[in-house]
Amino acid sequence: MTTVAARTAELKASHLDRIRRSTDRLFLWLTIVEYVAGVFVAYILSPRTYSGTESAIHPHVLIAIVLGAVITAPIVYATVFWPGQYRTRCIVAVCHMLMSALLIHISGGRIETHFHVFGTLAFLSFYRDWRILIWATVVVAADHLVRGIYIPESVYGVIANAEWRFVEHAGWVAFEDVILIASCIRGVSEVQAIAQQQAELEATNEGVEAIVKERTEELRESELQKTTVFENALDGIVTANSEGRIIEINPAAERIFGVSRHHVLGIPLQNIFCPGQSQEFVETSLQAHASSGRGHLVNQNVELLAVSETGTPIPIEVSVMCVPVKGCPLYTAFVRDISERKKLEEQLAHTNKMESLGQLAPGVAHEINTPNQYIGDNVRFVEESFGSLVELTNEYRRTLAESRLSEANAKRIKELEESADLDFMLEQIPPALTQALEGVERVGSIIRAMKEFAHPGVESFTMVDLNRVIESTVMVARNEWKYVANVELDLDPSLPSIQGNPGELSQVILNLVVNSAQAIEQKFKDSEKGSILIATRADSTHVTITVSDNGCGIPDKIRNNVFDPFFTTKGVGVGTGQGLAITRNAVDRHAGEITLASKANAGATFVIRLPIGPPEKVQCA
Amino acid sequence: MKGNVRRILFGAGLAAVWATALAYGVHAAMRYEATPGRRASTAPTLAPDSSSEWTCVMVAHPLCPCTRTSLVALREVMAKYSSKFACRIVFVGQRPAEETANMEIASSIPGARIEWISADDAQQKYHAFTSGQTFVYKRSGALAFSGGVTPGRGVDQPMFALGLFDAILEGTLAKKEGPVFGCSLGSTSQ
Repeated sequence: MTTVAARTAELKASHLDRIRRSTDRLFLWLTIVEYVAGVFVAYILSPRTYSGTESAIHPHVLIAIVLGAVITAPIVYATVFWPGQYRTRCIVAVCHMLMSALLIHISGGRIETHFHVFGTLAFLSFYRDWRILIWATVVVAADHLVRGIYIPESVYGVIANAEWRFVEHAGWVAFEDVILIASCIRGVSEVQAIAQQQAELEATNEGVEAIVKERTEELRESELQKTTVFENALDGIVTANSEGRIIEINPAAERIFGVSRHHVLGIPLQNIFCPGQSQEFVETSLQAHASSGRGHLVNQNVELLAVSETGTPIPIEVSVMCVPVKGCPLYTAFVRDISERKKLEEQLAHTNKMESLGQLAPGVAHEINTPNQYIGDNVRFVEESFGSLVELTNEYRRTLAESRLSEANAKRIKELEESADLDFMLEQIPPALTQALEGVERVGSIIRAMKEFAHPGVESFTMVDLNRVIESTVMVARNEWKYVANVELDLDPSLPSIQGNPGELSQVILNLVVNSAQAIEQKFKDSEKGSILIATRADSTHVTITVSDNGCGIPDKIRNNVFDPFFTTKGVGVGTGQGLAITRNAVDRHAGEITLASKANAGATFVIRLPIGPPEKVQCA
Repeated sequence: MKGNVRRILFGAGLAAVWATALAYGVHAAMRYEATPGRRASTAPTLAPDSSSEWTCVMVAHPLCPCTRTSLVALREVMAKYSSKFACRIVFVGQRPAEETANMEIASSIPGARIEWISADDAQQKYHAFTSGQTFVYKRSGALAFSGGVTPGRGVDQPMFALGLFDAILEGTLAKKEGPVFGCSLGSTSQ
């Protein structure tokens, strides 16, 4: 309340000051005009005074010029140098009443000129300061009193009762004073009321402004947050109006669609999609939604195609939200580049296929093993029996040679032996059988290796002979390396067994060998074979497995990423990007460590160190 | 402190100078307004108009701006008492080529007869020296009033003249002679 009261007083003072300064300016110009008019009137009414035929300037003209200047000067000075001050108003009141007296005098005391007094009083009331009306009235009264005493006829026009004429004239002035004083007081009261209303309004406005400021700040922050989200969202956001024309697009959408904002604003939404089915689908959906409120694109996730900046189709996932704004639908499309996801899905499908094959492998190996066994047994039987058969055949041939067969029979037998190529068979069948047995043995060892590699159901840690794991794995992976590289094993025969999961360790070796084979193939392109060296060593606490190759190596810039899941530089179907990540996880689970030493085009060397004793932190897969 | 005193003294001095200038100006203006011209020393002997009870003669300068108010006052009087007065306006000097404001007013006075005489004749015949000099005679030829019909120089107060003539007609006029406010009529002797 105190603040409102103080502000009211301040506003009242300011308002009155403004009014009084304005009135000062009014009186300044009014007085100047009156001065000029007085001189002009004096010149028009009484230009010259005569003595017979001689004439001179009329004293009224001189009085208007000189006395008018004496009266005007204080008003000009005060209103210019002391505007708005009380003394200025007093000077104006006094001098302007003197100006009235001068004009009355110049006009010959015309009764109409007396209205100048009343007019001046009315003008003085513009100041809204009743005190100066008293000053003005005093001057008027003094003028009339003095003139009434000395030359009453010139003031009142009659000789009789001049003293009462003064009272009559003063009475009319006083009457106007009463009205004007009341008007002044009322005017000041109105100023006070207006000031109080304004102060209260300002106080209210301040409160409202504070709330508005607070709300504006909140709105600004909210807007900033939304803008930040909009501008920095990884997903593309495109807004379209009810006609399906783009009105906003964020930077992510610009990247996805390979467009710039100022080029796409105003164009139909479907135009930024891949020409063909995607564009038709978006256009049809928006039209359907506009006409029936339904559309396949709205409120659903749909996979479509966009065109990148390079012109490559990009798979995207689009969902469109429709929000009515002022009665018109506003479409907001959220667009996500699913290229990586699609790639990963393909890789995952490939991995799943390989996993399925891996799961099938033990069964297939088992199925192959049974016929392989009886093939081996039978071949071995044939091999063993073939020696006796050769001896028998040789005996038959000696007997036939010693017997006296007819020439025709001997010739016929000779022809049959030649036809059957008996000598060749007797000579080649034994090594053929030996080779067949070796092949059977080889199939048998592959089957055993596959069984050991797969280890179905073995998920816990057990004692593992790393040399055997390596040999088995190299055998299983033979098809991956045999055309591109020679594998040399430098296995420490005294390598101790360690606690581990044979399946995971086989996977580790397999991944490294396959990687090495692919790196060698990438480098040599079938021109020559590379080499893969697998060595094992042991110290008192750890065993070390070193897998090195002379392939294309790993560039420095991706060296830190090779162990990341799904990181690959190979094409789909060649690599899943999970091999080294799985390898690292397996090594970590064995409380070991894997390091990489490689230079671009100079081969790579992976070194795995595994503790001999039970791992301190064993994480079962 | 000294500066303030000096400023106050300067202001007071300036105010005193201003007040003095104002007082002198007011005094000069009032003095000019209240100072009458030379009155007729003796009233001329005229033959009053026998058709009217009263005869009024005003001697006027055709160009004097102060006389305009005398003529206006007389016009008001004659408008009221035209049946009782025979009125003559005697302009002194050469008749101007163009009609002056005083001549126009004189022409508008009801029943007024306008005459022209020279300044010397004015002095010899009417003993008049100041424009606005007015004589009022009874039918018998007796002078009822000699003086001006305005309360001051150029004062536009017809009420004064009406009051004066009311008193003449009622016979209550205290003094038969009054001050005359107007320009000097001039003469060859001057």
